[in-house]
Amino acid sequence: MALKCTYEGCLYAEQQVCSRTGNPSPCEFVQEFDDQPSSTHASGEADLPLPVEAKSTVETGIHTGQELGLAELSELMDEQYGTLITVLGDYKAGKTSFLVCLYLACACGMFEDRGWTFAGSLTLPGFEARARSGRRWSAANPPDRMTERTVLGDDRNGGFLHLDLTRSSSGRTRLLMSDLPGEWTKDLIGHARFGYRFEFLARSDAIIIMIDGEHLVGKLRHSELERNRILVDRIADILGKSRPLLKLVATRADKIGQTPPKALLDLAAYAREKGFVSEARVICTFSQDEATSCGLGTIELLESCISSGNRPRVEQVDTQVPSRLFGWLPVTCGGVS
Amino acid sequence: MASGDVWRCELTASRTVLFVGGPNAGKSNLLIRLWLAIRSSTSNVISKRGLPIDLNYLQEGAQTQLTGSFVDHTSAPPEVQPSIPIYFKGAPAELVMPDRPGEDWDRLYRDRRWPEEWLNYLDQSTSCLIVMRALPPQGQTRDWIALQYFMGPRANFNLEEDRTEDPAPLQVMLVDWIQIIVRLYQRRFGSSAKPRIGVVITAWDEVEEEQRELGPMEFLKNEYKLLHDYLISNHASLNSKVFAVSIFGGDLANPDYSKQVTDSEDPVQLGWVSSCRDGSVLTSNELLTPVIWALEATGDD
Repeated sequence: MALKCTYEGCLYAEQQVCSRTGNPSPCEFVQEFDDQPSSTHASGEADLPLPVEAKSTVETGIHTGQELGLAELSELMDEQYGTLITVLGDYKAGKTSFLVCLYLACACGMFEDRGWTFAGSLTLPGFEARARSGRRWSAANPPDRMTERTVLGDDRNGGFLHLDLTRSSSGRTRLLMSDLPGEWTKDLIGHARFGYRFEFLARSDAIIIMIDGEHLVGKLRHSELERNRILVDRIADILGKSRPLLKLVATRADKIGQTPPKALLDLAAYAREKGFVSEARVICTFSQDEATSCGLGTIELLESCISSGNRPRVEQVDTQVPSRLFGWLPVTCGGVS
Repeated sequence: MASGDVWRCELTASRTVLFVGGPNAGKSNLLIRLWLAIRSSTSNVISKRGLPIDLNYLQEGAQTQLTGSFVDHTSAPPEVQPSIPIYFKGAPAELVMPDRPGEDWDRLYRDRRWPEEWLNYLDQSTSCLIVMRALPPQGQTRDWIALQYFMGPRANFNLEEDRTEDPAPLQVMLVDWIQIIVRLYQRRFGSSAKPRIGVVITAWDEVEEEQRELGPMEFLKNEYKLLHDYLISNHASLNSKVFAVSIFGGDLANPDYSKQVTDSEDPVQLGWVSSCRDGSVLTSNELLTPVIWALEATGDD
């Protein structure tokens, strides 16, 4: 038996992701089809779709939990201004580690000294799924990969994670942080046509380009610098005249030290020539060296992305793109009504 | 007409207090203990008003506890909705306390589906009591960041452990459930709807006395920081209060303590509940305190 969704535009049958909720579980619009040829239908009539067996539970608009679905993103942005932070970078650069590290630090109160208190997240299961593989310890062999991709099938879509923090001095800050596949950055560097995936960049309050710090020192540094100059160029082309804050971040401070490598400083200077307010930072999310703390530089990086003023909302644009692209469409349009 | 029918003809407000909590949180034992407390209550806030029509579940549980044992999770029915006739502040009312196995709440976290029939319990006066065991036997889920924060940078390099198959941390599920409930209320009753959601920490007797004296909020702050911070940051969207309960003052699974309970004059006088108010920790043996709070329409939190 195969499942097919009757909700317009949903590709659950092909992608096993519900476009209404972003959940791997199907919603009540799905129906079962007998996908085997039937030998009893001598008349040649097509099989009628069979209704899915009535379930004792209902999906009642409960938020997806893994990543923000379309409706939740829209709702959150309507309730309160959401600081949108786009994190770009190659596979294994440390993008997801940064997000997970922030979450775990807020959860245990590590940023309380700086006044930050956890106030909510509609993607707690999403953070937990990404943090799972970091829950292992081996004195002889510390794990070199602390986060995992969420299981959304091989053709992984990007999405947003959500974190609300309060600070006595400034009230509630709503953070919406992208978690994109590393391949998206690689594809964009390789070909401009992939720019369509990043149309939401204009709405971002800050863009972080995460780079594996070990690639910025030693013999890889020249090629890494050139790759990222191209990435900055691509981003500038997509943005047009808009210039969100741009943070150029080297990870693995436990390996390379806390001083920004020259290649990173060169990249920051290049970005400034392109009109960005940019700065270079070095962080360590999960340290393999007890002399360097886990989370080093992460809250400072986050704070630098939270601007004091809100960005103007982009004018809403009508489009024919189906609304199953969790988050990209309303973010592109500056919010869905 | 039988006298039972006469009671039903009166206008009685039905008030639902929904129990929410994972496996081994202690929901069923709490519910039975609250039934015993109602049976023996002399307070003018809540007192009994005759007997429930269906007494099987409550009576079976009460007999188990009064003979010095906790109700066993495996013998609980899949889902119950005890409906107890009471007087609440002098007015007749029907207290409904639906309960279901903790696995169903785990499933809510995983599958994002709410048991269909439970939507029927959700009206504007429904309150929730989130039940959580103070110190779960399996311990708390750890991570590199928390370990470094609480135990220093070396802590992550002195272990050999693999907890990648552990379930999600309890406090993550608790906050997730509370957020789901708040959003359901807002969806049904408007964005300004503020549900009353209490947190009841059970097996409080297992916590060390020095920690107990600091009160349940301080306990959450130290042991369940995510939950604590969520509660203090969201006064605008929910009415919350934290209680800590020991239903008999000790562990009935301990044969010595079980004997103390059955040897006592009246086991129903045992047990205590703590809560915080204006910075002070209040402790009493009025085990109905969380239910009284849950039934309040207005008043100090």
